[in-house]
Amino acid sequence: MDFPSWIANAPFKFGKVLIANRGEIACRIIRGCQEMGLATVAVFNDADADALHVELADESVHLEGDDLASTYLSANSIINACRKSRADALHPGYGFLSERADFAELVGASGIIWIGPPAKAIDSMGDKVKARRLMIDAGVPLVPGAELTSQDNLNATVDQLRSLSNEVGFPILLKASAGGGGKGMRAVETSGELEAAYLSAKREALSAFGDDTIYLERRIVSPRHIEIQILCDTHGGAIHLLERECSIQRRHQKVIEEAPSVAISPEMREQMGEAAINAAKAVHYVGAGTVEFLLSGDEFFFLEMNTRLQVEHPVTELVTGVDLVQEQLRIAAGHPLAISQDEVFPRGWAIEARIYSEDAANGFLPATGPLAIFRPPEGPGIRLDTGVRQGDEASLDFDPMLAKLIVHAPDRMRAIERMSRALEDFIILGVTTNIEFLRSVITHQKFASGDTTTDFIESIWSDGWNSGGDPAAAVVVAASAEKSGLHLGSLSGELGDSPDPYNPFSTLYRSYP
Amino acid sequence: MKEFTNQTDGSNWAVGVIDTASGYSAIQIETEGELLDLQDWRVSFGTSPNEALLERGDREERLVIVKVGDTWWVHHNGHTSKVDVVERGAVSTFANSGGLTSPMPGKILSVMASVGEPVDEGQTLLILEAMKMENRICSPVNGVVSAIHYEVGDQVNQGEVLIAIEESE
Repeated sequence: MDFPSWIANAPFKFGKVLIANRGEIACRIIRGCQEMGLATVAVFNDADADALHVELADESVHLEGDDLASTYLSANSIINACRKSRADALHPGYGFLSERADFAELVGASGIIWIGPPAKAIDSMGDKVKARRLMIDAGVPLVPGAELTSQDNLNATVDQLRSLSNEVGFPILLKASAGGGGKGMRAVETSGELEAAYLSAKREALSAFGDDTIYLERRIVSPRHIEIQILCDTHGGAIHLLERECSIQRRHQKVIEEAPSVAISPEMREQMGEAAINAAKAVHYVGAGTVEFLLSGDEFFFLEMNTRLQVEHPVTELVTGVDLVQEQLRIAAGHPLAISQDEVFPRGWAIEARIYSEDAANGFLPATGPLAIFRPPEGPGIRLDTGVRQGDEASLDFDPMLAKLIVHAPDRMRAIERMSRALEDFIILGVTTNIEFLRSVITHQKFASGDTTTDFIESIWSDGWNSGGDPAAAVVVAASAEKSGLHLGSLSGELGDSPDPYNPFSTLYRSYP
Repeated sequence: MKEFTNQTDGSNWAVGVIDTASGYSAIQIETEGELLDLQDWRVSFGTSPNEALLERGDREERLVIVKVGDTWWVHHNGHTSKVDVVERGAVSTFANSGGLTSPMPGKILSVMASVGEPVDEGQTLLILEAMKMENRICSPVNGVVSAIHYEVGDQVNQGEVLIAIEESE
């Protein structure tokens, strides 16, 4: 096998990478590999046969099965796909199998290079209780909290929960040890709510992670979410790539992220960077990872470490000029880090907005439908990471994130203006999206002033958010269009009833009045 | 008249549109019992069926539209509206008005149907000159012309019944 020159003399050589993922992140990784001369293999289930990531990859392997568990989440199917395609390395992306230590181990044991951290590091950080103990030893500041010693007897557990909560101090946050993404997490204001909250957190944790271990933390009121991107090589080298602020969240999921953060001074950045590197070193980390902190005033507390590439990694890439996927590939090949800490500094400002198919005016419920029109904005300083294109369908099979819109500008104010303009120009019709809501956030005076905390959305739109617009104009144009009958002659104009609405030739014989 | 519901604010609309030389014009628009005067609005469509141009006075705005099922999706200045076509209203509103009414004051230029003649939905029945433009008045239903109340050259006022049609079952 011929290897690209950058890897020909590396300790761990590989030439073909299987991407065990789908959607925008699979596309992002495929492009990163292709730029470095590596062959790529996509995997797909029945629903994804025509998906963009399959089209972009050099080759693809079909995963048989009716559900996620037997396809994208099946370790054996993925390993078989590697064998079938003779892929000698695997990139897990985020989600799916990316933080499964047993999978990382299986990949290595199958003679395939795992583009990610060692299984042991994933395991240590994946168990939030274990991670807390490790961080205490590493001297990383933690949110005050406590572990339950036994969770077998309900009455005894609730008693212990009460006394520990009083020690830690209300308000309390109950969290799942195996948790993430807000699942198995409950905020508790008073002692009386503890039992019900504990039981529901436990149920949710069990169904989401198969592990119902719960621990408690003090709930830091109105914090900022600040995270540090780190890179560690196999030679003991470790650097951080500045912070990202991800305070703008709905239902505990990030929707807008930026780098750097208005709240972080150079001294603070140095302190948090050092804490993040210490956290990584405590688990002998290798690869790209993210250490998440809560910031309250000028105090920061370790939240968790994500042992994978993050959704919001592009803002760091734009601000530092470092391609994180390509660094992951170099590190997996056994190369030392190409850059040193003093070469990392912020260049301008980057903001990311996550475009979801969801109804912001109706509790952010996921929405489905065809992407009848999908027209992303263009122009200087705009990056779009997506796994869909016009004609695709937003279904309930997968995560409702359609795209990540990322802008880069010389300073924060200009990045906000750029994002506002880009969101205004982003047209998706056929499925309800959060684009207009994102613009409400980005153009809000509190966002402009940098007054961003994790309760931003719920405190500003406590009674819900409503779309604006000009109802009369929309109705008159729709009525005129209906009257014109243009949509009848053109299959691309009217979707839903026609057999092949996406046929590009269907407009060929259309007559115009 | 056709009826529409704007999903964004749940508002209901009844709109009569005519095809003029310079584009489509909403000659009669009613929402929640209120009559709006939008006669200087013009809508035209570009070479792509998804591009609409809305002219209001000296303002020109570009919109992107697409129909999915019975819903028009309209993108306008960063806002997306969903406008449902309410089929049942299309006939009842017409029937209640007792016939096709004049959308604006003007002069009858031509009558293109006769009493007893079967007509199709969308067929041009008369041409009304108003605001120096020719406006085609089309049949909203399939039916038979039961009465014509004016002749060529007559001046009519807004809202007068011009022609009556008995809808075919």
